[in-house]
Amino acid sequence: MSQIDYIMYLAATTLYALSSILYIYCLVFRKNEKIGFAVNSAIIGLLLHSVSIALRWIEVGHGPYISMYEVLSKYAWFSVVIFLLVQHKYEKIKIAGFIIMPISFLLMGVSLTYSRDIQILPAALRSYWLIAHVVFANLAFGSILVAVGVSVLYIVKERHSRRVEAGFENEESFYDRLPDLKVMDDLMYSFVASGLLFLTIMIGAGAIWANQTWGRYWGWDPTETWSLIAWFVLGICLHLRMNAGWTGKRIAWFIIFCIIVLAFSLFGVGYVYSGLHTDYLTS
Amino acid sequence: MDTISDFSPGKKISSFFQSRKLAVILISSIILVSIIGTHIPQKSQLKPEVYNAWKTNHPTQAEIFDFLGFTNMFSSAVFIGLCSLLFLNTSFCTRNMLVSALRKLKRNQQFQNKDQINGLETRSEISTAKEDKIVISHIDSVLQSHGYRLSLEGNKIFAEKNRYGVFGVPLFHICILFIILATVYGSLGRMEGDMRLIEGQSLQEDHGNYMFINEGPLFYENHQKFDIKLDKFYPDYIDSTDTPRGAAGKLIISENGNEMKTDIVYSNNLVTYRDYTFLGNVYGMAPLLVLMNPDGTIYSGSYITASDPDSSGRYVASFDMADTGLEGGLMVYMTAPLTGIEESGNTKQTPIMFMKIFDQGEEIYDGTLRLNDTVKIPWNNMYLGFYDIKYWSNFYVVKDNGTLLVYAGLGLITLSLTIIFFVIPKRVWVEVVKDGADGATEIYIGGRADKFRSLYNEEFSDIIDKIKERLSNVTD
Repeated sequence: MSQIDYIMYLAATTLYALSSILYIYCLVFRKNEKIGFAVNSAIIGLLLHSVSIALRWIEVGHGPYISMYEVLSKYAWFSVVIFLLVQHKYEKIKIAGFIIMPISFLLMGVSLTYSRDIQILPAALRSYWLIAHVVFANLAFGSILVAVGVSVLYIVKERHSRRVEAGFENEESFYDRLPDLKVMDDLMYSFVASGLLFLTIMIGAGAIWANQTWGRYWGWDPTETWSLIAWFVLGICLHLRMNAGWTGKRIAWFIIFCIIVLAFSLFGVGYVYSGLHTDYLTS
Repeated sequence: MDTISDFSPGKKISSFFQSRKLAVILISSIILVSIIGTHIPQKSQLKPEVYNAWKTNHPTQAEIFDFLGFTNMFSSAVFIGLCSLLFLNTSFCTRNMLVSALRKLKRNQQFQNKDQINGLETRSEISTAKEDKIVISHIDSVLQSHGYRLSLEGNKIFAEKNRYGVFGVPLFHICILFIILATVYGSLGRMEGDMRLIEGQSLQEDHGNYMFINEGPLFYENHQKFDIKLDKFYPDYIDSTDTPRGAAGKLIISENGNEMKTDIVYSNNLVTYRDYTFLGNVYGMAPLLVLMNPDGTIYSGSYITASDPDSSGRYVASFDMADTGLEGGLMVYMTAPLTGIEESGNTKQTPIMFMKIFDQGEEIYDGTLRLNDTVKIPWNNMYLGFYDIKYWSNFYVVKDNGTLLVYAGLGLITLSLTIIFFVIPKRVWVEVVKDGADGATEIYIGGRADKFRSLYNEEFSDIIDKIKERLSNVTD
């Protein structure tokens, strides 16, 4: 079974790569009509990825949250799922896949550099709160990643509009097919809001789990501290958007900054600091 | 120019603390300080030997950071000061937000005429030949099907939904204040300690029975003095669902001789009693060593708690032998877990102990003992017996009355965020005017959402489409 899930994983990674190339091609060459191929590649890749995760789950007896191989794969899976659901609802932002799919492919690719050895779930990690904790971490990352995709589209379209106004570029139908700037602005805002909500639940579930395992709900462990930093950064982003009139390009760039902080808190902290969380992941 | 009578310190302080810019500055500062705190080794985070090694390797840095309180960053004056300022800032802002939310709640109950509706960003105009009463009843029905609550005044309609969504933002800020207060309350009255119990041993919940103890200033040594017994220890516990749970200890809690609670503590399965929480911690083996006089009478005896610092399965301890002045060191290991002995009765699983005894630093004995062995030691013709071995376990005991309040705060903060971003107040204003020369009825309809206004257009368009559809289908 381990070979089948691995083959499916490789196939899913390849399809994500293909989807990424198609999305980038569509954006660079303004080929909106080819975007269906990119979406279909992502969907087939996701199906294979899902089967691969399910097979490994059955084999190892626990969810994908122990080794870095599993963790990165799971982040990629959630990101693609959220993106496909969102682009199904808001068809005009399909092209945002040019951000989400390459990052998902990157996560899959990096995960392949880690050991696939089966690790027994430590007793401390046998908790439903852990499941809630990791699921909401993934949802938070996926939401912010989609917000970043829309933010980049916003920046691209806004730049094009300015250049058209200045007479440097002609109007192109490709940009017309993107949502209105105001709509994109609201979409960014709503995805960041969802991200903050998911991150809050992640921190809450993590606090309850930590209290059950270590006897305290908060201990200023580097991962905990960075998750709070990420929460604050998202909070500042929404605060600026709601109260300080930060809209459009400024908030789009801020959202890109948000994902850097969030990605560091989720993936980077383990490489820089040692602590209770990182001990589990690197074991 | 301000005169002296205009100067009001209260107003100045209030306007300073209710500044939203101040909130951003304070949060940014807390972020910065937190980042520094994760970079500088923290005393509370690291094992003492790791922290001391860093201190030895970086003496100047350690001295400076220690002086600034940065090696305990999250309880330093800087951090607590910033959090206190943020608390004040949030308190002032919350008061304003509550006032503003209440004002919004009242202000929105207004009807608007067609001119006001035409000033709205999201609006539409429908012309129909239907009677105005019929028109109004259809608009009512469409808006109600979209979840709006309606008020009517003549030919004007005011519809709104998610009215109480305006309280989302103040509730969120109240939750933050609540969590900060709960944390402070919890930590001031908090008690945490390590209690070491040998299998079968019972200790009273009291200050002196903890190996280490931290008590908050409001705990007032208010120990409950119930008895805690480690009835049985399981190094590899498997629960009723056949799930391996790691180390576990069966605790019996009794008061005045009455058994009050029995439960097994293992990872993610705490035992709580009278607001105390018991968590499994480190464990080890405790061989019983008995020192005997030459005539066979007992001189002294005790269980020596040996631990396994490098997780090698070898438990080591050093100890003093009663008042003899002798010192000893032992290493004991099991060829199988103790539970195995009881279940199989296999003698191969007997523990083996290596022991050395020193008299004023000079080694006087080096030997190997098996269970129930007695050896003569070269000191006053005395004997040493190894007659029993048990597990011991440390239990981390915590009492934090703020925990449930913090959980409640986290739950409410999640609820408030849901309200803020997903229960968005939306309003629709309608005026139906019979002003066409041909007797047509004009419907002026406008709407507004407090957030995500461009996304609201989709819902508004749907409302308009439904109204048009109804009006075109209806027969007079």
